[in-house]
Amino acid sequence: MSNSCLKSEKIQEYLEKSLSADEMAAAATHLKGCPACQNEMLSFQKIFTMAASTTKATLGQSLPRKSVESLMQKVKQLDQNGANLSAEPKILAGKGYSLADLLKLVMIPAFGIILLAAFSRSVKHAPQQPETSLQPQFSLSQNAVEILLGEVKFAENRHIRIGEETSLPDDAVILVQAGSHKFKFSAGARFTFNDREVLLSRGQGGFDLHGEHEGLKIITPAVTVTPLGTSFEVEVKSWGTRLSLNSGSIEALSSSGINRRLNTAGTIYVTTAGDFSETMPQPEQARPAPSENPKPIPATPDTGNAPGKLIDSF
Amino acid sequence: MASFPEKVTEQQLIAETLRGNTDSFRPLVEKYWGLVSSIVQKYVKNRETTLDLSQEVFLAAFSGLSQYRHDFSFSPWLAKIAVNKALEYLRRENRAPFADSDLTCVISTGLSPEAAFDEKQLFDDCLASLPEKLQVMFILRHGLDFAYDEMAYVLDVPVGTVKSVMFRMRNQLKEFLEGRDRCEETLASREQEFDVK
Repeated sequence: MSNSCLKSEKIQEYLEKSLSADEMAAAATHLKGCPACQNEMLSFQKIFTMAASTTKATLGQSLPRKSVESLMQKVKQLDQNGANLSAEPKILAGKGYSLADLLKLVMIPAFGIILLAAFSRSVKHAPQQPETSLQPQFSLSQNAVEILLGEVKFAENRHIRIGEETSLPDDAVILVQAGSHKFKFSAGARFTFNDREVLLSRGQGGFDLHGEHEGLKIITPAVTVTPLGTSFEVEVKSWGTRLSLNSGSIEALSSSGINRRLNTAGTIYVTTAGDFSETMPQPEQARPAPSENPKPIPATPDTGNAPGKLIDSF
Repeated sequence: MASFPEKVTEQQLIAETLRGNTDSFRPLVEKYWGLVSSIVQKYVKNRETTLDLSQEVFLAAFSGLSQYRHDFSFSPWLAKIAVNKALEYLRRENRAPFADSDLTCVISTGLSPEAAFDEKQLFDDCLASLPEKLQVMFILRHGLDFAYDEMAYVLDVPVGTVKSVMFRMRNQLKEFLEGRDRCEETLASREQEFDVK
C-alpha cells in the first residue's frame, strides 16, 4: 500500500458512513483506483458482517413466559408499595377514617415534635467543639488507582505519587479515588498531583467531588479551575482547554488573567491565549468535537441501581 | 432478534407505565430482554445469575423510570443500567472485569488460526475470548447499531476512546484472520508441490 492509501480507521469510517460528505466522496474516488485499499475494505466488510451476525444472534434470547409473569408480579408489587403511600389522602379527606387513623394523625407528628425538641436541647447544651475538628484536611496524597481500560504501569502500586508526572497511553482509562472524590483520566492524559492541585497538561480529566475539597485547583496551560462543590470535565487540546460543568459551580482563571464563574451546566472553551469562548476555537474543525453539539445527557435516577453520574462505571 | 418498537410507541408505553398502567411495562421487558441479558451475560457468565441480574435490571429501570429523559432512545439508558448492575455484581463477588484491550496477547494464548476449519467459528471464538467490556462494545455497535456517543454514555468513557478501541480491535481481528488465510494458502501450495512430485 502506498503513502496515499487510506488508513484502516478511514476505511472503517467509510464503511460506517460516518465521514463527512466530502470525505466520503474522496474515499470513494480513491477506492475506485486502488486495489490494495479495495481489498482492505472487503476484509473489513467481512469483519463487520461477521460481527453483526454474531452479536445479533446473542440478542435473540427471549424470556420464558413464566419468567415474564414472575417479573411482572414483582413490578406490580413495586408499584403497589408506592401506591400505598397515596392511601393517606383518603384519611385527610375525612372519608371513612377510624379511631386508629385519627390517633396516627395526632400521635406521629407529636412524637416527631418531641424528638425534635429533645435533639435541639442536646445540641444547645453540647460542649462547643472547636472549628478545627478531627476531620482531616483535604489532600491528594492519599489516593488509590483503578485501571478501567488498557495497560498502565505505576511506579508505586496503584497509587499516584505527589510531584511525579503520570502519562497514560491513548486508550487507557483510569479512576483515581482520593478520599470521597473521584477523578477519571483518559485520552492520553498527562498529569501531576500536588497536595491540592492537579496539573493537567494533556488529555482529559473528569472530576466528581463530594465533601471537603478546599484549596483544590485543576491547572492546565490555559486555565486554572477552582471547583466549588461540583462535577466537571477538563480536556486539554492543542488550541486550549475545554471545560464542561455537569453540576455545581467552578471558577476559572485563564492564563491571561480573565476570571469567570460557571454556575450552570454547560461547556466553555479557553484558548491558549487565555480567551473564553462559547464555541470551540479553530483549527480543530475537521469534525465538530462532541461537546460542540452535545446530545442531552440522560437524567440519572437517584436509585442506587439505575444509572447515576457513575464516573467509576465501565 | 425481536424488532424494537418505533420511538413513538416506546414513549407511549413508558408514559402509560408512569401513569400507573404497569402492564404497559411488559412489552418493554419482552422487547429488551435480549439486550439486557446479552450484556449481563458477558460479565457474569453463569446462566442463572444472568437471569436474576437481568430481572433486577428491569426492576431498577421500572423504579427509576420517572427520571428517564424522553428526548432520546430508551435502549442506551437501559443498557447502562445493565452494565452497572453487572459491575456491581462483580464488585460484590470481588471479581474485577478484565481491563486489557490488546487482542494479540489474548488470542495468542489459545487460538490457533491453522486449527480452525471455519472462519466464522474462529471469528466467534476470537470475539468470545475478548474482555467483557469489549464484547459489550461489539454488541452495542454491531448488534444494536448504537452510535459512538451512545456507547460512550453506556460505558462511561470518552467517545474518542470508544472509537479508537473499536478501530483497533477490528483491525486486529482482520489481521488475525488474514494470518489464517495466508497460512492456508501456504499449506495448499505445499500440497500441490507434493502432488506434482
